[in-house]
Amino acid sequence: MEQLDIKTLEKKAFRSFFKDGIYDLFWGLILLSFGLPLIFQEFGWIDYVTITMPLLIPLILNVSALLFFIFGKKYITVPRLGIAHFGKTRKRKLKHVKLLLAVSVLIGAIVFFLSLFKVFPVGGTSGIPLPFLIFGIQSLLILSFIAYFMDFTRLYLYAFLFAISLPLTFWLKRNTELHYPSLWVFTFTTVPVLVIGCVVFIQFLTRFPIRKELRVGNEQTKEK
Amino acid sequence: MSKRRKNDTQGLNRLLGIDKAIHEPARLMIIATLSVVESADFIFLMNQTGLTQGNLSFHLSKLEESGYVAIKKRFIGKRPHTMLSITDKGRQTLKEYLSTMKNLVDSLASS
Repeated sequence: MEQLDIKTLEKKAFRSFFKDGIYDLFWGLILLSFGLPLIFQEFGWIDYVTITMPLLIPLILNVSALLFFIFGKKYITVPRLGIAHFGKTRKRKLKHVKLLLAVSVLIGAIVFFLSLFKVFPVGGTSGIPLPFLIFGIQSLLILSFIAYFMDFTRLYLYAFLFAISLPLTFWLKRNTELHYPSLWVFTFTTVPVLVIGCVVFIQFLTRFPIRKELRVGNEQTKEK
Repeated sequence: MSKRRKNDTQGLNRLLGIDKAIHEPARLMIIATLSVVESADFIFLMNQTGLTQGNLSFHLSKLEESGYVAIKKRFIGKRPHTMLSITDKGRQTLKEYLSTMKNLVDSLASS
């Protein structure tokens, strides 16, 4: 019972850092980076045959998401929520998260470059190219593990939305006559993540003003 | 002395052993929060405990005097920044306090 309360307190303290919505917006932008090249291609705005555009758009969006995350945490979250360094268990879990992210990027890069050389056959009767099936399964597994290690419940939902995004787009392309399948799928998967992120972010800004600390310690006691 | 009265007396005697420095709710909240982190700054603690700046500052001074909390002050740019952590003594005291309170509640409940 005593242990349980301390655990709950630690979890509550750690999870308070998800109140800023920055994690949500980060994952929303990453998901958008996968969808935008496909949407642009559907509208004929980019030539998908050339390698530069499908690489450039995700790269720009991924770097923007990362910069938003780093600077958002530094200049928006920390002045409002403060800083806390957590214990060994939490640090170990965060190491797992970093490792999973590294594995995810590595798998993604390998699959992407192999697909450029048309190594993968079109998967089964579903007509979904194998790289996109791999993307779906990998997203579901890796993001779910990250959600578990970070106690970030909303990430389970995002893992599901990531997992269905690319496979569903290609399934719709091959098996239906729906116009702009990428636009539809990425609207239904990315918009909820970004909307949740914006709502949480705005709530955070209104609930937590920037705080400046007083002097604490013995000199304060003497004054009193 | 009846068994019930003996239990009550034992339970009440345990109250005398309670450390008053952390028995105060605000201070207990501060020390419990610090016990789940390696270190945290003043603003984090203020958000977690819901205490005002003045209140938190006062209670932290008391806890520092008792040797339960270590306070490290520095400046980031021109702003003061205070990092706080629980000391070994503070952690031990919290453990003993929780154990005493649990025993006390158990003995009162069983009497």
